[in-house]
Amino acid sequence: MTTPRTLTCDEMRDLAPLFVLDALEPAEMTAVREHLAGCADAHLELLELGETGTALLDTIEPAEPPARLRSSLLAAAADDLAAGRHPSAATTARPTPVREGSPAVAAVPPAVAAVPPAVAAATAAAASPSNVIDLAARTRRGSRLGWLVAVAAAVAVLLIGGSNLALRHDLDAAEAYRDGVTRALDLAAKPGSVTALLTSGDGTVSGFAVVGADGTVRITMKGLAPTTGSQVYTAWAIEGDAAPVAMNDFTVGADGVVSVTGTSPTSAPGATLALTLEPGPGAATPTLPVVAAGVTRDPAG
Amino acid sequence: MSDARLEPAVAPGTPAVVGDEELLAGLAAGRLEALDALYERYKTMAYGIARRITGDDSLAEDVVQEAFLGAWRSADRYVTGRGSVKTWLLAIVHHRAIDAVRRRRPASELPEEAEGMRTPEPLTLPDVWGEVSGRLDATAVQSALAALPALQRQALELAYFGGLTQTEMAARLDVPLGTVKSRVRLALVSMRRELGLSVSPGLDAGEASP
Repeated sequence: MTTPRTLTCDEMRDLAPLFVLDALEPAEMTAVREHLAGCADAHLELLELGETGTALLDTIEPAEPPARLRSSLLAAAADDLAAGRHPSAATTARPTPVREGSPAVAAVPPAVAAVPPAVAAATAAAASPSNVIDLAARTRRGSRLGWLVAVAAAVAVLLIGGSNLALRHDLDAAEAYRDGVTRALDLAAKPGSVTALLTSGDGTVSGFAVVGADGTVRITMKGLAPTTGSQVYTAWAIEGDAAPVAMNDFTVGADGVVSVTGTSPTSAPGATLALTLEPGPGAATPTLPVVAAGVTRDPAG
Repeated sequence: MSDARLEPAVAPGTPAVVGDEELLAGLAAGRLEALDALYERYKTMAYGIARRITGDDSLAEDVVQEAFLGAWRSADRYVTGRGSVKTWLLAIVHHRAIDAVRRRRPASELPEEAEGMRTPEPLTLPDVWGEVSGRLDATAVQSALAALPALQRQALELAYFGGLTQTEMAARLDVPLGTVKSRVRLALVSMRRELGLSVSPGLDAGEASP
């Protein structure tokens, strides 16, 4: 009707049965949709045919999928959040969706420059008072602002990139990671829990952290470089203007995947969680650079 | 701390049954636990459909994962009133399964896809049709299907569960395209009759008349 070469209503009716079954050639499927978009006739026959087709789905015997599918799905969905592919990321004002395989990671500096509100908030929260800066100044290579910039950069990447674990085939590590995410999710389901996606500046390290209402922390990460000698990773929590508080130390094996628990000083949303690589256990202040970081949020929000 | 938001009024610990639409709103908001709950609710139907259509357990797993990920990414595009969440979700599974089968088919005329395109994009949502009002017994549908003349049932199954397009069906069955169309139309119309559902005069037109 409105489109130049489109189907007549009769042609449309002729194709309707196959259309509702998704059995037309792609070009025909498109032609039908175009016709419908411009046609004054409601083509109610489509509803009758369509609901009959839908009823066929009920004739299929349900089957229990393998248990790994659940954790695989949840891990992929968590990755989705980390990579900013989920539409809810748009509410944190990320302008354009990032497509898999695009050179988005190369675009880190501009993205950091156009600091999204979440990052700005994290930076502001950490920047206002002096405790954090004082601590950061005492770190080995930190300028006073090094810690803040590192956190901001790591958080920014949370919104612009990431890898899709589900489509890779390093299965053992993948399964370990998925199991970790699944367990973290069980904690996330409890009232009062907050969650954070932790990612590195280059997107190679990512993971999922949950802080329960009682401060119990569960962190699952992948892509971490293995620790050697007395090295440990330390997980830190930074709440508002407070100094970074070490939550736990852990080592990482060759697969780069780890699931650990710890205790956070805060279970409020808006806290920054960060990982650093330390020369040994018991670090009082974080050693830069930040390996991965993210900001907690209320999953019900 | 400016970010503090009020939670929706959910009494902690109340084991109230969360509705499908509420779960879908959770998906749209990026809540993994809502996805988890929706998956738990429909995983066996979804996997059953995917396995039936692909005939391949591991491909069926991929299909189910892609379908739920598609729902996860597109939950904000679900339109209330155009079929239930269940129908919407299972239609996505069906659509993905058909897609997978067509991709796997070597002589497929589908356009080549670039490497890396396999990642489920914010998916093309399938056209979703409402379900028959009132609850249809699965066995009633089963027997309505079984009551069809063999050629009609075959056409319906090749299209809906086999993922064949009408052209492919015509080639496979070695019949003209018009025959494929009328068999499928007759099959759907007869099923409606068998299920005691109304059939508009328009649907009976053409080759469908006795």
